[in-house]
Amino acid sequence: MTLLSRRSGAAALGAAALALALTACAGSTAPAEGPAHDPVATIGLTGEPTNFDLTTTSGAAIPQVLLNNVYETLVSLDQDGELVPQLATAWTVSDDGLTYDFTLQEGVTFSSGAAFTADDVKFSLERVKTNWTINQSKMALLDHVEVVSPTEARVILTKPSNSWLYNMAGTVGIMFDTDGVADLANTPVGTGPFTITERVQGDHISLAARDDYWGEAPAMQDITLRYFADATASTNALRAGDVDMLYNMQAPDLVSQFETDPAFQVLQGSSNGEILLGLNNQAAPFDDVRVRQAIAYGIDRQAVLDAAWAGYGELIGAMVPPTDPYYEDLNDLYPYDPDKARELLADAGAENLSVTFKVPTRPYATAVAEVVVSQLAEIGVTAKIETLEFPAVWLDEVFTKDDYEMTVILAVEPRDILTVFNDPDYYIGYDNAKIAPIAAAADAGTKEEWIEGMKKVAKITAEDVASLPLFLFPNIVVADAGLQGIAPNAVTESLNMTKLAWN
Amino acid sequence: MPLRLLKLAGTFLATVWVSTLLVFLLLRVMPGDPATVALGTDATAEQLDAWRAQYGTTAPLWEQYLQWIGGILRGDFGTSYVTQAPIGPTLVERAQVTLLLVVLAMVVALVVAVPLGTLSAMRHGKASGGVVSALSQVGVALPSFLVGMLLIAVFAIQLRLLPSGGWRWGPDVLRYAILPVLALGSVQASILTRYVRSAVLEIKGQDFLRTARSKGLTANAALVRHGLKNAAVPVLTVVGVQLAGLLVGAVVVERVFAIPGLGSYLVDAVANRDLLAVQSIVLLLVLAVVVINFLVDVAYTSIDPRLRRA
Repeated sequence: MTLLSRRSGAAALGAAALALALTACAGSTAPAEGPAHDPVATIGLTGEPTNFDLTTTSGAAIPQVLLNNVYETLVSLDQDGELVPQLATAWTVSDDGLTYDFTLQEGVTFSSGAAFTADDVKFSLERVKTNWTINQSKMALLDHVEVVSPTEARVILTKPSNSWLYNMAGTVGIMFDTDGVADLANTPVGTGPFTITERVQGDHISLAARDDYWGEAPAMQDITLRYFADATASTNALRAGDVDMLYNMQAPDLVSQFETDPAFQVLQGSSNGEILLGLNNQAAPFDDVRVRQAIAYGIDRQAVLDAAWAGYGELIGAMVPPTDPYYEDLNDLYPYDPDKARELLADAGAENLSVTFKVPTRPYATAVAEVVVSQLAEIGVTAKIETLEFPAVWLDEVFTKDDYEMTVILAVEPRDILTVFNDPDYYIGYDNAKIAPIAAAADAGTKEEWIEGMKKVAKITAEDVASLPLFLFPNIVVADAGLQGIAPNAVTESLNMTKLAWN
Repeated sequence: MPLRLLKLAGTFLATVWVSTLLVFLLLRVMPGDPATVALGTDATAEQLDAWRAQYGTTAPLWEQYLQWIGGILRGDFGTSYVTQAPIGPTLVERAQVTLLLVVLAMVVALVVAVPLGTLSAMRHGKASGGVVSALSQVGVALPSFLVGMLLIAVFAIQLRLLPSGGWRWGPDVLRYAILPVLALGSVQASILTRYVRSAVLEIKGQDFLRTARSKGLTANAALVRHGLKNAAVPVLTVVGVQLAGLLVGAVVVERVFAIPGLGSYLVDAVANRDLLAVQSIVLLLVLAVVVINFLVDVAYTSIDPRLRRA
């Protein structure tokens, strides 16, 4: 009897406490419906930046937050991948392609209050070659920068280049404050419309709009970026109204629930990321072009896309996304033809092939790998999956030591066809004897020559099956239906939040 | 008494020291190069070497180890290669969150398990006892992340009463803590209920209870007044073990609720090869386990006077 009364007492107390807690909660969570929406937004992301210094830390996570939002560049890319003015209002290129004259925007200040002048242009660009530990190759052709006047900067290159100005829209073109680089890892100082106000590692980053921004004020006053390690946790948060948008969603099978719900919008933007089936050109069996071609014929890329990524994405025939000016539809070079594949394998004396398939621990990789293995089995190739921890072990074994036969990876860098294939020391190990002279001439030529040259490069690498691009990775955005100004195309690594607004 | 304390302290220190050695060595044997992970695919060999020189990763192992230990003894956990922020404050931030979650979960578990387990043992052989036993069987089989996801589906998405995840210290912290605590606590409650039940069942037939009954107490009163303390010892052992396991085991629930706790910190640090952070976290966990065991020992001696003699 003593126990009974004690137990029911405890239960009553517990129930009372729970009821009290719930009523306290219920009062403060009225769903945000109604005409006016506060100018604040929360965005759900994966892949948190480890620090804010994009001059020494690789990866897309840091520029996703900072590029175009906190930092700005002289030129920027619009959603169609076209160069548009940002901190430079206009620019001219000399006939020999070596001199770029930029006219700078006036009245621009950094978040520290310092004025933006041509001195900052000189400082920022020359610093890439001396202080950055990554991406230095993008500024390799820089000779020096001249300060013509506070609002005019002249950049001299050592050789003409068709890719240099495009790279200036990315991280290497960021304009830093000469006095603002003391603590890049924690305190980025930029000219952009937002500043970082709070950062809780493992949880969120908060941005607030500046009131002294030189350009059009952003509609959002406060944006919180929340980082999720689990895709379901992120969709739960979206469903519960705790986040307003999921950007670069990595679980397409969870998207369908939002497609039919009028409270949400699903956008499929383009990206620069190619899902690449990497083939080691410098080791058996893929040193034989016939075997590589057999793989190309033996894989039904549409089936891979549908099974592995729920059909979100686009098929590409070469390492070139449709947004690049030298894109050409090469999807029909290697149509799905398992008979042809088997024939080629027989020719090469490679029937009943057995290869190790090193797969990084990434959701797209594990999804794609399973489908590829079953398709290859049909043409007599046994691919044995070996899972490698990403990034540490994959980088070590496949990328650094070239110790692999076949792998799959998402190549996120924009315009990376030359990085990947124009270097026999790169982990793919493609013999670039044919494409090297074409690529060099293209970069140094006129824009038309460049486009023609790069098209040739793309075609040759595709015909040779240097590796097999399976599909173009989509940028899936799922958001509250009332959110507008979303930039779904990931033309650079930036998640451009400057135009976000509520309806 | 002082000798006993000295021996305890000695064992404590030896455990901690051996684990620092083990984790230090294991991390350096693991495949993967921290320099490449930090600098990425664009780095040249010179840049990789410069990074290694800057962070002293090519110095002889004993030197690196001593430098690290020396720092720890001064209270300096070092600076992370990866975040370039000092590790100490991050460790404290993350540990606080996990500690709150885990302790609350254990409290909830005990509040449910002790009465239910005792009830189940006392009604052994009858319907109500069987029901509790069956329920706890189901509870043990349910993984905590599944319970968590169900709770989110009901309370956060359907009813919009609570947030679906995240964490904010401050007056609202309980709102963020309720669901994850319930997810962790419900599983622990099921486990503990079964231990309480079996411990009480052991006690039930004992002679001393018959003596108490012969003195005039009812069966229930005898059990509660005299029996439960005896059942406490094995249950305490389990609580200690579970608590230690939860500190890192909570990582799955942390992922489901997107909570920045210690488990997530450890998993991310390992993936990024943030060696100093992993070492510091493991050290903290070892310390925590040793402290928990010590507290359990102290609890034993306070409950059972027979254990007070050395």
